[in-house]
Amino acid sequence: MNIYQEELLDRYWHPKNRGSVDNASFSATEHNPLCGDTLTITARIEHAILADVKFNGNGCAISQAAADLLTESLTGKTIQNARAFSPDAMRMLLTVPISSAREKCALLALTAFQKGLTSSYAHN
Amino acid sequence: MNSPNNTNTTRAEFPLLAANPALAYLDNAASTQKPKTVLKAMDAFYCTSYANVHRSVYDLSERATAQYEDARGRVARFLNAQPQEIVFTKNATEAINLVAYSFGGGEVREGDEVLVSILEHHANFLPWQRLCARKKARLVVAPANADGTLDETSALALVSPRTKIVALTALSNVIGVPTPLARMIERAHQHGARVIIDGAQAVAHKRIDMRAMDADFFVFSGHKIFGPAGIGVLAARAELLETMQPFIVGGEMVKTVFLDNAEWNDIPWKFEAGTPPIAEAIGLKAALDFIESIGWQRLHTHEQTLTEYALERMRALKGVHIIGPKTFSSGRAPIISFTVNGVHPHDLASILNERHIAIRSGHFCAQPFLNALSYSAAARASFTIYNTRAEVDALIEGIAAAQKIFRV
Ligand SMILES: Cc1ncc(COP(=O)(O)O)c(C=O)c1O
Repeated sequence: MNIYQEELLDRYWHPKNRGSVDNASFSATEHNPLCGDTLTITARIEHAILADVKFNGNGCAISQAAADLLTESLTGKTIQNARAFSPDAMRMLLTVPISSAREKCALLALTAFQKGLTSSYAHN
Repeated sequence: MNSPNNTNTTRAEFPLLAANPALAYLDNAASTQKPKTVLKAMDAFYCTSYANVHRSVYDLSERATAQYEDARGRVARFLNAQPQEIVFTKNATEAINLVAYSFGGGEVREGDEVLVSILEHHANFLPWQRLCARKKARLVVAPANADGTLDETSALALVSPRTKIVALTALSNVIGVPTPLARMIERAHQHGARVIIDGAQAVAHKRIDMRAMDADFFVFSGHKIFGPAGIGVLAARAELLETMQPFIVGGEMVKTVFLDNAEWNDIPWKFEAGTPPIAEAIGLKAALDFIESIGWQRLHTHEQTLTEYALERMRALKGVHIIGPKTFSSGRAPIISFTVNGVHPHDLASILNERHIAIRSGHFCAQPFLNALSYSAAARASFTIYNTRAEVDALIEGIAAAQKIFRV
């Protein structure tokens, strides 16, 4: 099956959440060692809720669309719910089947986000 | 005659390719498929002569040892070296690490310099980076020209009396272009530096002659030259091996062991601690027989025809950017890295995969080089004797299809 469905390509071309948030509570960067792509997630937390989440960076259609879907889905979630957001949830969000060779791309944003969330909570 | 225009008869000698007629395997710079003769040689060894080597007096062990040492002799002939100058390793990477540790560890002192080129694969970059950090030596990196080829003038000028080691690839795994080995080696020797040549890519495309090349160390991996994975080769001047300390210690590499010291074995066994990849050595021998049975002239003709054709077709595609020289020149290997405007290399590789075309995408373990050329990732197609013109056509159609999906 062609993973490059209209919705995914549309996300890739016209992301809603590209950029960085103001007064970010944390910023986390993750590299994809397979291709050298870099993705940065910034988020602002207000009253234990993710008030705003955005991504920056360049990469393949899968990693970029995944980042856009993820940041949209996380916005408004409680920290607790966000922390429970799993790789499986990410795969569901993408809807297209992801081969194991593309897992890293699909999960890059989530990995960055979870890393940022963990480190920001380790600090306070 | 094996023309890329006709059905490729060599393909039938590769069981994996024969079993997958629809597959266009275009990732030969990463690793080649294996001919039947290699698989049969390893199978026959396991079925008739397998035992550990250099350890026991019984017939089977003697037979295994004789075949293992015969494989060493075959590698020596292949490189025009002496058997005692051939050390079997796990791969090219391990061979370079061996030289960095055993030779570099003994020779390089604080303030010395190790010269590498920006074109290097991580395997011929990181061992030197680490050695220099450990020894407080300086890692000097020779730059590339704008087209990705080695900036020879700068590279030659960077060799100085402080240079202890020059580590240089014979052929870039990104742009497929050879480096000016002879002049670099001559220059290094004038200044008393030793030279290690990374032959991981070159060995599958051109005849190597250790004596004519005059390098001090030369390394390659079996798996990129139709042999099995798990075996590599370090070829080195005997007098250097004699003075070097072993890299890994343990069984097989030692003559006598006392409680507080040990007497190392003779070269090359001093550098082969533990049970070696025995069947893999025998498989490598069969692989070298295979490539020589094809013949260098026929291989060159086939590779050149395919490379010229692929470069020509890619130049004609709008939005496709070839990394490195865009036209064929003498010595160019069938390795073409490229990018497609608006299509990330990973997405391109996924779309080609749907069409049973295997190419490489990413940074090819040459991040400093790709970054120097302002890329973070690229796609790479690499060909060998079993590839065809029809496969190049399929690649071009696949790229066009990806452009259509991404509307560029
Ligand atoms: C130029 C070059 N050097 C070194 C290597 C490392 O080879 P191996 O992974 O077999 O050790 C490679 C292959 O990946 C290569 O292309």
